[in-house]
Amino acid sequence: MFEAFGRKILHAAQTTGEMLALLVETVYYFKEAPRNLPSIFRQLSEIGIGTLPIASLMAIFIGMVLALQTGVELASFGTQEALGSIVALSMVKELGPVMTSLLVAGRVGSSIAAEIGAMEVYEEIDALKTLDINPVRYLAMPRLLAALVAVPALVVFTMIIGILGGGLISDVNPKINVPFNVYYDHVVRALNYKEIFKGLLKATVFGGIVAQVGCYVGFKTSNGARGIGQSTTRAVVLSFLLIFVANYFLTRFML
Amino acid sequence: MADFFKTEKNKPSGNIWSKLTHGFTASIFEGCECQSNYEDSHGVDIKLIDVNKSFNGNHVLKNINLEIKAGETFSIIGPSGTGKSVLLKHIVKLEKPDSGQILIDGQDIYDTEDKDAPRDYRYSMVFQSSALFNSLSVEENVGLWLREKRVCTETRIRRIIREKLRLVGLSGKEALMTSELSGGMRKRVAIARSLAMNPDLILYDEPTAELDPVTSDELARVIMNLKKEVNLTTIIVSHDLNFALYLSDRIAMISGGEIIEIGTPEEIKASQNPTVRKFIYTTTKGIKGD
Repeated sequence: MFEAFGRKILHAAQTTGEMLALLVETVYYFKEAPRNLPSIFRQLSEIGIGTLPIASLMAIFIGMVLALQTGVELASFGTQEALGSIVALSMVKELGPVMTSLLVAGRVGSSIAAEIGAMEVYEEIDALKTLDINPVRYLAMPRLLAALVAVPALVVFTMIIGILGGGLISDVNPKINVPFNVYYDHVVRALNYKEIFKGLLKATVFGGIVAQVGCYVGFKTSNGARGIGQSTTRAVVLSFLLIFVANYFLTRFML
Repeated sequence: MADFFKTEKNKPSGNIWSKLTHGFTASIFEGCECQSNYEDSHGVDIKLIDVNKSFNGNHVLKNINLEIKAGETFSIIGPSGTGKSVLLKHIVKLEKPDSGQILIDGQDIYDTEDKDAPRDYRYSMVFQSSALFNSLSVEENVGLWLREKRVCTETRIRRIIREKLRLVGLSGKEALMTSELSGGMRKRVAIARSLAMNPDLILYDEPTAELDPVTSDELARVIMNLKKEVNLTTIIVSHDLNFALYLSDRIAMISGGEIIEIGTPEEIKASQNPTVRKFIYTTTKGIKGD
């Protein structure tokens, strides 16, 4: 039992070390970004524009549910006017960055792992090496850079849409009955640049985690089609886990 | 000091400038019509000395000693799973030997502290699966190295792509996506992609695998034409004996991770080694004669 536990610890340490090494190498190649602009824009479009419709849908429903659950409770104490502040702070500090990043992990992280995994299995990565094209520079760098830009941008949208969704429910739901101008007033009062910055910092870190995990798992893929499937699942699970862990520590340090 | 410059000048492949201009560090040449010696392909000498490799205790390559001359077409034949492809991957640095040396033009390819150091030769490999990039078109696949390394101007790159596709008999197929290609066409695009580097060394890993006899024959003709038109060292790994006999200047037979016979096609056919005889007999289905 101890042996198995030890092996798992060693495996986790090895994975962490390899991921950090990949991160360092990927960041090193940021200097090559200007000559990889087409690839970076392709990834930006895939991560940002591609995820925007589903992220918007998710955000509006999160905002609406949040307003509904909280608003009804607050109304029972007669403090429903504070709903705007609660929805805004929840969306900006937690729900916007975390939920959007989880969505990106499921949609884009898995696709990065599958794409790079397939390239690994079908010798395309080896082909890149023989063409003297560094796979980290060619594949990982554009994805990481795009994720670092696209995920915070997406989070800005989800924050706005979520807050608007909450405002809609607070205005139309008779049990809450907070006019939109009152809701909006509380939103503006609750939010400041510092809170928004904290939310976007979280989004940037989570975006980096999603891209990095997708690339790492992709590069480690083996065992043919089955291995690609396993990598896809592994990328999503690992991204989720790391997002939750990072979220705790970021929240703790930014309190 | 003056002697130093004189010596370096007289040794074109030895100094750092010639390595930069002939090797892969190309971006500094952006703007010129073509990298100064892109057109120059010289073929390389390859020497393997006591190369050993094991995977999980399985000794795949056992004391491999091999010498391939510049400009030679050399085939490595043998049954599946005997270490042929692993041997090839060692030459292009996709695998590192457990022991032994691999020399290209007298230089140990692993005897450098800087793995990104410029080398004074270009190599490319045609993979068994073709390994084309599925998200790219034929034109983009063939031109990938040229564009990534900024070897030439875009106009010149397009000209080179057209020329290489013509060499492999795929003129006019530039716009096709790789998913629209047959197995034989994929292989030829992979060859064109390799040729676009104007390599000094080209390696083929099972080029006829999964191809029908007619397509294999077409491919053999393409490689034969290249042999006539382009001066490069060619290494072919195959279990297709007839293909190797048709194309090669020399052939090595590998069995159980060891080289058991080396010689010209005639010498191989006349070999009395029982393993070679058995391989020839089974691959020709027992048909006697040439």
